[in-house]
Amino acid sequence: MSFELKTIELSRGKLSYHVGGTGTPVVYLHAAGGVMLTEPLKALTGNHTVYAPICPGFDDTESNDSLKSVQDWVAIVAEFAEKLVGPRFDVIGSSFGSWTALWLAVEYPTMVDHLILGVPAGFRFEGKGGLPVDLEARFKALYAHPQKIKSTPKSPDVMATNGKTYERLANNVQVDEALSARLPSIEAVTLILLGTEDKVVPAEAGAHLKRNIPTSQRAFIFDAAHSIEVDQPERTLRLWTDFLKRGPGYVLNQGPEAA
Amino acid sequence: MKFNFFHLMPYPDYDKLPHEWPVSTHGIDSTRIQALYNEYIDEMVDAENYGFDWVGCNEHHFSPYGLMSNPNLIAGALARQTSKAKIAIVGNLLPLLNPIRVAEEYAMIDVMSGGRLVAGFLRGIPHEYIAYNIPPSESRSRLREATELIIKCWTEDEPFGWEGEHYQFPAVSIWPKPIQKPHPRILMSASNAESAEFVAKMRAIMGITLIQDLSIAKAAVENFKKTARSYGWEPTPDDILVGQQICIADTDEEAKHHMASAQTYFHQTLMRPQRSAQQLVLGQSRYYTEADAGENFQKRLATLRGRTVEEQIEAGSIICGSPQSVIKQIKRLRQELDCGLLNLTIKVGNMPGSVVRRGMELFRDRVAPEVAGL
Repeated sequence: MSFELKTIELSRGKLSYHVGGTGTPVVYLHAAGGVMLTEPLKALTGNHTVYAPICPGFDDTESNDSLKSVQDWVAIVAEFAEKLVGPRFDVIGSSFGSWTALWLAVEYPTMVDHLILGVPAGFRFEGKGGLPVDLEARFKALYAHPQKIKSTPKSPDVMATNGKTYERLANNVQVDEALSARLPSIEAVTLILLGTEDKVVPAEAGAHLKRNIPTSQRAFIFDAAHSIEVDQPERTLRLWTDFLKRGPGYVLNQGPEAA
Repeated sequence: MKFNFFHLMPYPDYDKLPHEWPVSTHGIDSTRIQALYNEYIDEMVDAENYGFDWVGCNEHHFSPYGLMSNPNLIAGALARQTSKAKIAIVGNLLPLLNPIRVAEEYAMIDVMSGGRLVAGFLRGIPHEYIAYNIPPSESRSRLREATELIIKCWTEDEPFGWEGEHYQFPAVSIWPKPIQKPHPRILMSASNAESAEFVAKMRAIMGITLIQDLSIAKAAVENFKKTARSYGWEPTPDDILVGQQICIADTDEEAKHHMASAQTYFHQTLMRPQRSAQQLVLGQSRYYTEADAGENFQKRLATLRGRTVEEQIEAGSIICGSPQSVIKQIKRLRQELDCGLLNLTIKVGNMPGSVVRRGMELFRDRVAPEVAGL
């Protein structure tokens, strides 16, 4: 199923978003590189209505200078969801999007049902991780299997603006201590996903989230770097769909009964 | 240098020439095997007081070649009966096993022994894949994935799941974790470029055995070092283990006589039934890739089988002789291969227990004092 690009007027201005599919709603929150309509995301539209809002300033959208933090962006996501998605929905984040998703779960606990945190940013303990400045090293950090990239590359200008917008919202925060303190209050059942080859988000970040979010699971996706959806699309989709369907019960092997 | 008293735990009394693998146990008395376990474990326990720094064994299935289908059970006994030697399992055949179980058992051995485990992660030899009904073509990818999963099992305190190509485990948290931090040293085979790449990535001890020519072995060691440098580390002699059959006797002639007799049993009886099964695997699967086709286990074995004891000594394939000769041969290996670890099989084939014991005494009294400081 394909996605459509649409726009909605919100109290703080216009918001563009991708939408596709039918079924229970899922809000997908994008990474610092902007929205990438990956294979698992496309496949998810088979059973879900997937909304992927674009943070103003990303992906060639109009910038909104009033957005100065992740929390500012989260307030827009919440208003977007309230107007368009419904009172309760599942959330999938990718990297910076997982950071956003965590704030959404903390600030708007009644909205978030299942929470999936893909390679979550915001917890670079002792400065570990992060994207290399050098472009070749950065590409290598993002993809263990770049031959699997199927989407059209974004232009250098768009990528540069995405990077600047991310920096403005991230405010050079290495560890989001305020968010960290509120992790135990998260009510959503949570799945944390990490790539075994990911050097951008260190494994400690996933362990910290697992330790502090009350109802959480975490899983390593073997042979995936930071872009787990590109490097291992089938494995990522299997975890997404199983967790969205069964919540914490996804750990049980149901065997042939599952059918 | 450090020395591993390695035991294959062979069955030494097979009086026929087995023609097939798996090998029938018709007529085999298991109480005789009980006595052998006692004899072999006693040798291994005593080895730590005979100049050996490590004691260890490995895994084989369905034949008199080795009586340790699960070497971790032997290691459990060694953990209680030894106090200072490293316990080297060289190793569990990861592609055949449940990696979570390996992680748990290895961690138990490390804890029971007070942090003395050396954890071998091996691919095994081709016919073992028939034993556990695992596709040989998946041997490398299973080894790689299982290795990384086991390291995660040892190093991740918080529960985790694993979503891989061969293994999916949704919720893992092994108890206990190993004593050694971040985890026990791991040891893997790296006799060709393809395996060296992964061993270097994992910063494991490189193991090489069945040397048919020192120059080939030297090239493999150099390739491993070069690959390790590309991963940002420099191997030392403590990262290179060389496996050798050894016989030490009071004279060269006596040692060569014992070795020749034991090798006849080793090649003609213990190795014989495996050959046809190995050919089946090699002919109908992608166990070997092009990269290692020229330097594989079977070719090396065939080469060694055709050589006299003297030729094997000259080639650096075995260590054999009086204490003085053995010291020279060990020094040569150290110099040529820059290895700091020797994996020594004293119980070769049906080598009599008395010869094994005499060799241990000579090693303790006359060899170890001369070579331990190398």
